[in-house]
Amino acid sequence: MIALDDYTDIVGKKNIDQIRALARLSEGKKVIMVNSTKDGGGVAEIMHRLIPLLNELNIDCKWLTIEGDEDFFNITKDMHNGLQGDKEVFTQKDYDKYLEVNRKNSNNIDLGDADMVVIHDPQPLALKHFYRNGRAKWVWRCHIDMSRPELPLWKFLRKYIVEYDASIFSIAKFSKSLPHPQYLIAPSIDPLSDKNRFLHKTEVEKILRPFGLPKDKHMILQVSRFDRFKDPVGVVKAFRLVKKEIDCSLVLAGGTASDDPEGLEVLEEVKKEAGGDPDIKLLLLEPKSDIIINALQRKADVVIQKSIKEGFGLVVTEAMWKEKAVIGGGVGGITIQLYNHRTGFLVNSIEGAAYRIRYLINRPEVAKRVGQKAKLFAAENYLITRHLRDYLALFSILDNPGKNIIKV
Amino acid sequence: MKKKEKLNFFDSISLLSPTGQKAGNLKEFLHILEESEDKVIFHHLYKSQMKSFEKMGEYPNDFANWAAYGIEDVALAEKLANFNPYDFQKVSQARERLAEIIEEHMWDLPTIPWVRPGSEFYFSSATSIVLPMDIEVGNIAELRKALDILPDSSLHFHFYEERKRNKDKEHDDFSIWIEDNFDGTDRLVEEIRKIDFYFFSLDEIRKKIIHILDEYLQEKN
Repeated sequence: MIALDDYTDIVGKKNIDQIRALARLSEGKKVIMVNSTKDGGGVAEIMHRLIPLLNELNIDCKWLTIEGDEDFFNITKDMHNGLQGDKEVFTQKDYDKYLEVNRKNSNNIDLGDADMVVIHDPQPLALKHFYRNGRAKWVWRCHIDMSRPELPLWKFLRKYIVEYDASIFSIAKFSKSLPHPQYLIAPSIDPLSDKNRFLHKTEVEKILRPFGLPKDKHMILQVSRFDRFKDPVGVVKAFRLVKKEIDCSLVLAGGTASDDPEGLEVLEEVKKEAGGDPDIKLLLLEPKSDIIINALQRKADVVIQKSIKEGFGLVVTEAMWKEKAVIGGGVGGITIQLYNHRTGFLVNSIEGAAYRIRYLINRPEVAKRVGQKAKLFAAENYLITRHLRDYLALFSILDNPGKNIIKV
Repeated sequence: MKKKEKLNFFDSISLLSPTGQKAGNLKEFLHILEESEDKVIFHHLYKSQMKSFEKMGEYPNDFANWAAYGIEDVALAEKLANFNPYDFQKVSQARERLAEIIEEHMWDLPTIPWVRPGSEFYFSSATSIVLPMDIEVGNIAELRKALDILPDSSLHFHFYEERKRNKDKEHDDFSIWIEDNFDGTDRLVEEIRKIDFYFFSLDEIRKKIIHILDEYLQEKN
């Protein structure tokens, strides 16, 4: 079991002391976090580490998930896409189903005497509607790119968002005009998890041996769910452009999540685009493949995340932590991680992605310099300890509504 | 002989709070700026030093950086960068001057250009929790040592934030404490107050203060 003190060597004693001081202000508070899955995806990964750390600091934090059938998760997947700007049409029947599942879950989820309830993403958003008389403060934590949501969907969901006491977004760009306070909390990675802990070169080789990856070729990597917003087809197209000039290989490694029924469909589209090229490897990874992802990210010569919509892009942070100069789509949270020539590179097209891949392969010294700065930047801004501190600050702020400065 | 009081350190931990308002061109920006609460202006003008170099960009406040990288108007960025918000006693006065600079600049523009989608300016404020730390110092050598372990947020609080938030303070906490408690420190106090602090990142400020204190302590010994 990893404890808060285990992070001292990474973030320094002053950060750990700061967290402990802040935690004392909320000791004994009861917090419930609710989302839709415990497996797969960035949210679940964060919660697996954040919640034990909160409990270690004497915050009584519980993590609950809602239950729903396939229909419900298809609707919420479409909602996720619609909030990220995809054209999605919802019928009244869809909305009724969504509300009905939320209502049923509200019967099963016992809030007890919780002080705060944090609801993650749109799936359980309407739960609050069915708990009108609770004493708890309710916070909606939105992890997705809400910069341009579909208007009818936004109008429907907004009715339920405004019932909350506060909202949290990952970056300012996603904030909306709302009648309650909004806060910014960027997500984070855990530097001690299997996905991010240090691996020696020999360990990397050993882990990757079963996959038969092409040797003696520059390896380009994208790790992401097979999701259209991550544009894996665009990555294959960019790879083709690069391959005209440089002998290289592409690895697309994708996990799946139980609330993501679209994944296999997108995988088929990617296979079609790859057309049997032996230099393109598609790895469909199980949810517990963290150590493999770690090894892939460390092995890669170039890491790309060519998203066309992105909540935050923790996979970018993971590669930055491993000193990679990441090439990322200039969208969502990627734009607050990658600053051109300083912490990485932003691209806006297939051609741009191809150009930057060639640029970094041909300039390993630039890749090294930017990668080193990227690691420092990730350490300062996007590690789990900062995330923990932000949540603790939020708890104190919710306890002091309307105050701009809280003097202890 | 001056009284000898200890200096107690505080930490100031902030959470950003977007207002939900955004500006896509200078006209919109000016309108929102004029309507914004002081805490919003305070955040964008006075808290930029809390950002690391990579995030901060080239200029010392959020508005100047948006002018440079958002609307891509470098001349305006330069004007906003050269504007020192610490020259004004009240945040509202800084806001008024800022509005004048933008208005004058717009007057000379043939058209008001829009930013590219995604490059809008998003207005935010910050809520801060100020809490006492377990650090206190009784002499200048101890202050020097404390600067090695002080978190950035505490350094910002004592060196920047307090002189703006606390109307009785014209200077940073360190030089005030030295001046109030130690004889023969006029030059040291002056050296610290001479730092052109608005143009430095926290890292640079920390190094500068440490350097000044080290020189003083060496001379004294």
